[in-house]
Amino acid sequence: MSRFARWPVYYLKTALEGLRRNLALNLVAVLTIGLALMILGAFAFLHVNLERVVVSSTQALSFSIYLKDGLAPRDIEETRRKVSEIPGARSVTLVTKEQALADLRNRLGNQSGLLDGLDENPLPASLELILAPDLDRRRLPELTARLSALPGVDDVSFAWDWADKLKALVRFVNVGGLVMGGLLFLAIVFIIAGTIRLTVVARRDELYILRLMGATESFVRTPFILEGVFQGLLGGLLALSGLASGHLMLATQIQLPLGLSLIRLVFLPLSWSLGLVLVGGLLGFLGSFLSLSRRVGL
Amino acid sequence: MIRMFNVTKRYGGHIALQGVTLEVETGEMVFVAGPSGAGKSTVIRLITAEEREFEGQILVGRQNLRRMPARLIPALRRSIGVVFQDFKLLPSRTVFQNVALRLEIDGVPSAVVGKKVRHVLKRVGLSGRENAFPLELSGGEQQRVAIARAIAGDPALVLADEPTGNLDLDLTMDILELLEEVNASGATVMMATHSRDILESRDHRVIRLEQGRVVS
Repeated sequence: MSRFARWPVYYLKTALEGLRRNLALNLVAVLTIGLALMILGAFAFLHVNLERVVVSSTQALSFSIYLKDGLAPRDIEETRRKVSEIPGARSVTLVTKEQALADLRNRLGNQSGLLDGLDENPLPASLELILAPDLDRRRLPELTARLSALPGVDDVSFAWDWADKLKALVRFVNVGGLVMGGLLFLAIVFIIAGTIRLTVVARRDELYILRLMGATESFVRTPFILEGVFQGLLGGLLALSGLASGHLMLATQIQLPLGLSLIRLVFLPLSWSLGLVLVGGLLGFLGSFLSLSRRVGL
Repeated sequence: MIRMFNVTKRYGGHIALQGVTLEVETGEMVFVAGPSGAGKSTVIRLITAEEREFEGQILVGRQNLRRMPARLIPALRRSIGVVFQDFKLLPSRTVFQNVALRLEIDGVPSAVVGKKVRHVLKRVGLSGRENAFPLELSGGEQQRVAIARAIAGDPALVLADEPTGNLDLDLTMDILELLEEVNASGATVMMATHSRDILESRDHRVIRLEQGRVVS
């Protein structure tokens, strides 16, 4: 084994020893890094879930066409035929008043008893129109107007409206995440630089002796760099476990009013989770590298 | 082994060495003597390249320190063992670890490090004290650890800067004998001292400094 290949053992040993020796200081640094990365991770978590909602809601372009009450089956059939003649229509499905009520009962689950006291079914019948996915979105306002004008149609609702709003929210989250991320990156780099600098200054006599014995700069500095990387990686792991716990709590404890099911929250993909920890390590590297730019000792 | 030609070293307006010319042959043991402030430590700091600004020429082995680029300084220092008056041991590391550090810097394999450290500690009379921390040892023992560390890498040159300055006469003679053994085993030894007892007890060559000049 060459001289250079043997050093990593020394570097690792010395870096871990350094973490242990200044345990309190390092713990505070790891906690702070963990919190900062958790905020970053929370933005990523929001992004992933909002993006998912947007994608699922815009995959199929669909209209819900609510029919006026009391239409004769023949009129309903006529409306359905006219709707199916709309350009770009893929399929038209009739949801009767009874089916609509049964659906609602289903979604309310164990709170469906709320519906038992109703004298009559308040829900309208509707036609669910699915459009071709490649339909030009600019034609949607025109289609909405055309559908609303059909006889027997009471109201038309289109999923695109709120998908657009969601997209705007996703954009906001992305920009906010980037700005916040940039600031937090800087903060983390300076936290790590500060703690490593304190360690370096506290051990300046040791560095002096090491250099006097002929240690190269890389021999002197690498353990400190590794210490910073470990701080960052540990902070990343802490952030990840915090986010995982948060996800677990949100997924199991939050219920919307009337038992309407919350959109199923997904956790960060594996690559993002690993990325968060690695970003911690990278920031640790940058921080400790920065703290060693000014020489201490001989 | 060491050649200085007309070396002058200034600290701001203060002249620490002025026109010093001296020579130490390979395998020789010499004393650099003189009162405090004569420039003994400066000579040692120049040889270890702790001080890089000077006038004149200094040769250590085949290296001309005046022309030597900074990247070669670690290699120069690895070829020299240095012993200080205040030992300069790492208090948080054991005797074994303090000595092993010198070998780790050289990249000696860990299996060899253990063997070598135990051998060198036996040589300085500290067998069995491997796990003690420096502050648990007497001054004489601490200086033995420092000497063990200095010679662990088998350097061709050992510099000792007032190594007995903090020790009583008996311990001083012990350390002196140890350095003579190091010299007998082939290393060139340069020892700075202001102790008349030491100078009178041995017949090694003496380079006397006064106010930064060689006087004899």
